[in-house]
Amino acid sequence: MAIDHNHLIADVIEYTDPICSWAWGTEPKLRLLQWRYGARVRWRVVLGGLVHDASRGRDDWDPVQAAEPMQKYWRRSSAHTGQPYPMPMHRMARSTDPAGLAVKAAQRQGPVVGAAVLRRFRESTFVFGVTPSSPEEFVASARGIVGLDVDRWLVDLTSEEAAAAYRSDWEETRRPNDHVRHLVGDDVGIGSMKQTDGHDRYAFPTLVFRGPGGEVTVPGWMPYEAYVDALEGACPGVTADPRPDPTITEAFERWGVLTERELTDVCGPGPVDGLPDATVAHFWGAGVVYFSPAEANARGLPPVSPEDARCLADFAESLELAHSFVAGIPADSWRQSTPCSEWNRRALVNHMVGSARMVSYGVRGQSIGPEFYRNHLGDDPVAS
Amino acid sequence: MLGRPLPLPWGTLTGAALAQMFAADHLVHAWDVARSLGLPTDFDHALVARLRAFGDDYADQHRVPGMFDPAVEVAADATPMDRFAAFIGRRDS
Repeated sequence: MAIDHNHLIADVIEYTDPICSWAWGTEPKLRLLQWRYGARVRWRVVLGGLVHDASRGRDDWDPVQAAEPMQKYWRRSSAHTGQPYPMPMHRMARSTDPAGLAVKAAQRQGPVVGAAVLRRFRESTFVFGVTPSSPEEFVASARGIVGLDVDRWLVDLTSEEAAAAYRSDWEETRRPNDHVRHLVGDDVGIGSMKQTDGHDRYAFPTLVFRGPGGEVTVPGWMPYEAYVDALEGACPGVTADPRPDPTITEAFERWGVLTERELTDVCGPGPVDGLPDATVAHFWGAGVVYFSPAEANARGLPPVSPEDARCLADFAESLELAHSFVAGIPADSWRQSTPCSEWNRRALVNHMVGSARMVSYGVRGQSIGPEFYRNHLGDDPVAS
Repeated sequence: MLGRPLPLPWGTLTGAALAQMFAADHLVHAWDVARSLGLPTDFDHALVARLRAFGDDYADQHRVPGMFDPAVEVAADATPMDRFAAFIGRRDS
């Protein structure tokens, strides 16, 4: 007898934080999971509180100085997840609690609004380099969310109800199950139990699936298949006949904003063509994020075409590649020849630095002339 | 911004075209430096393919001494980037 799997329902609990790079890195997988099986799950987002106070015990903590090591860490996790990291990044938030509380307050307007605000906070942090921490930054990053009543949100932000709801999420996150308590290993992104401020808690993201088949936990950075297996384990039969994967047009209708990794994971690998008309591309510093016209408009993004943004991303990648080799030039060998017949190493790198400066002017709409041909290298050519 | 025409020493380009031109330029010079250091040159294939689409035409229009020499032969096992470098006249010496 055929199973009517659309009547099977699994519960999914997602322990997360808006400012967690691994949670941001897992977005492409969770989007695909939600697209394929979303009609068969009840999804609850728990705001777990990643960092209460980064300055605790450090008298010299400074949001500007803290930005650089944080960006380095996020860049490393990006190498695993393929998701953007803030570039440039000027300031680090002292605490992720205000953003978590703000998402909790937005959830009072329904799970769809709550999810939209959470997503915007992640994009603000990892695509635009602003870690939202104040009501002004919350409102700026949530501009244009359909269904969000901003005035009500700002009132709820300071309400006892939102504070109690966040407190409840915080406490639930600090009652990790036996599965993560017993996990051991040193794999990158492993979701074994964490300890912060003297409390045990779930790593972010951790997803717990519950259903007739029992409870299955997917902790930390895991492959997509682990989520499907967990869903099937919790609710046998539920993963049969998934909804067919979205076309690129359907993906933009559903989500409005997609990173390169999300497009690949959700719509299948291959060159990104067939983007909907008037798709706006944003070059975030080392790659491209795509916005529907409505989403781009809500954020005040200039109408850069995907082709133009790709040129910038290719330039950034080539520059990075060139820099990686230039950094390896021994200090005493700068006069050696190169396959570029006209120039020795020093002349070659001088030319590259000059052209990089020209591009950085050019993309701002400014031009430079004779400046291009001068000596751009001082005593430290690598730093240039 | 990216679409605005810019007057430059050798002509007028948009910001995007300028970025693309120097993307190809940096890629080739990255190859120059890598080769001169004896390091591997198997650069990202998709990146190389995109920039060749621009670079091949550009090199063909500027095959003059001091810019681009005629294309040279490549070994059968050459990487895509090695082939690009050979097409625009780079020699391994």
